[in-house]
Amino acid sequence: MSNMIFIKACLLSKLSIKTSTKTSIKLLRFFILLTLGSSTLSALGNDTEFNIILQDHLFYPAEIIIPAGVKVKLIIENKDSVVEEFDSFDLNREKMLFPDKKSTIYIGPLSAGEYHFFGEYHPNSALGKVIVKEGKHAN
Amino acid sequence: MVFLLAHSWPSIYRLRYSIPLGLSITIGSVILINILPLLSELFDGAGLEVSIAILLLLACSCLIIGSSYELNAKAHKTLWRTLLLFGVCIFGCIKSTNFAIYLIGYIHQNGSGYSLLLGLIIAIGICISFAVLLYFSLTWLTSRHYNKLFTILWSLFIVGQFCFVVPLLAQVDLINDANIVWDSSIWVKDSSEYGHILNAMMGYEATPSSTYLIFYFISIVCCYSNFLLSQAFSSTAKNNISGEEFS
Repeated sequence: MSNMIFIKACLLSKLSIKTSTKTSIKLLRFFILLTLGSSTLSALGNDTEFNIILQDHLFYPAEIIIPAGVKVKLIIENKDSVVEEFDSFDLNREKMLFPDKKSTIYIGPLSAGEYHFFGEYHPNSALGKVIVKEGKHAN
Repeated sequence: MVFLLAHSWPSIYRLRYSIPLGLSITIGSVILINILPLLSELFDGAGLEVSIAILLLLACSCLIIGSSYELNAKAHKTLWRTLLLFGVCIFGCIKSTNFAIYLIGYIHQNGSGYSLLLGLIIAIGICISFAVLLYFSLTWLTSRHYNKLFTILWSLFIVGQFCFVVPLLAQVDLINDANIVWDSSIWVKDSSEYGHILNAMMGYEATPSSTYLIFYFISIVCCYSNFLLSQAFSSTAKNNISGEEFS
């Protein structure tokens, strides 16, 4: 749908170039903003957020329960003084966590089950898992 | 790098190229290490992924275009050499930054000096052994005129590295990779040794998404057809030159 709007905008702008270049640029800009804005709003509407803290090379909470079939936003704050890497083969995710910085990772939609993650630089202590349950059992 | 060394591009490892290349990688890595924390906060936390994706795209494009000119006329020599050097430099910067951050993180652990040294020696040993085996396998392929097989392996390697952008951009919700097509972790797990080797050599994923596969196949077709076109172009150019000489 947004593509159609964009194509229409392009066609409209093409016509108007002949008459006025300024008007076409304004029109194109409006439709681009409209398309970007609508996709951003739809993405924001579907997010479920979870906060995780990394402190003393441990994840708090080490277990998070999320509902199946939903895209989830994990906000991980590294409170340690050294860099860590959030790593998960099950979730297919890998992200640097810089000291005193918040990092964002999106996971899912996932089917029911357990998905393990760990800190690559401290794999013996920094461990956690995402438990995906059917229904609305998220913590 | 072993791929480049094994084929007809060992000239980039000459001292006049390797010293500036090494220096550029070192300087680039130092800059990257310092700006990565700042980049990570841009674009609502997607800055790191976007930056690495752009760098990977740039590196892989340079390597593909650079290596496709290997058979062409002398006029293109400077161009492909520059592109190859640029590609290797960016690629080296990304990898060495990753390694340096890992090393810095490990050094901060108390009492890890001995295990770090031991780990480094073993890791370097494994890397060198693997590189030597790969080098001899690839030179054997080229000496037996299995150039097409070499080109396929080289294409798979570049595409595998390039497709790393899919999970990177998916984790910051810029693309969707939720639809898993198959699960081959029963045979080769991502976390296993074979999984790591296959991932590095051809971008193996035990649970690839449809986005990843589409991205992979489009990239491999583009990459391989580019090599085939350049080979066809070079053979036409050679025929024209020999025809002119004959007449």
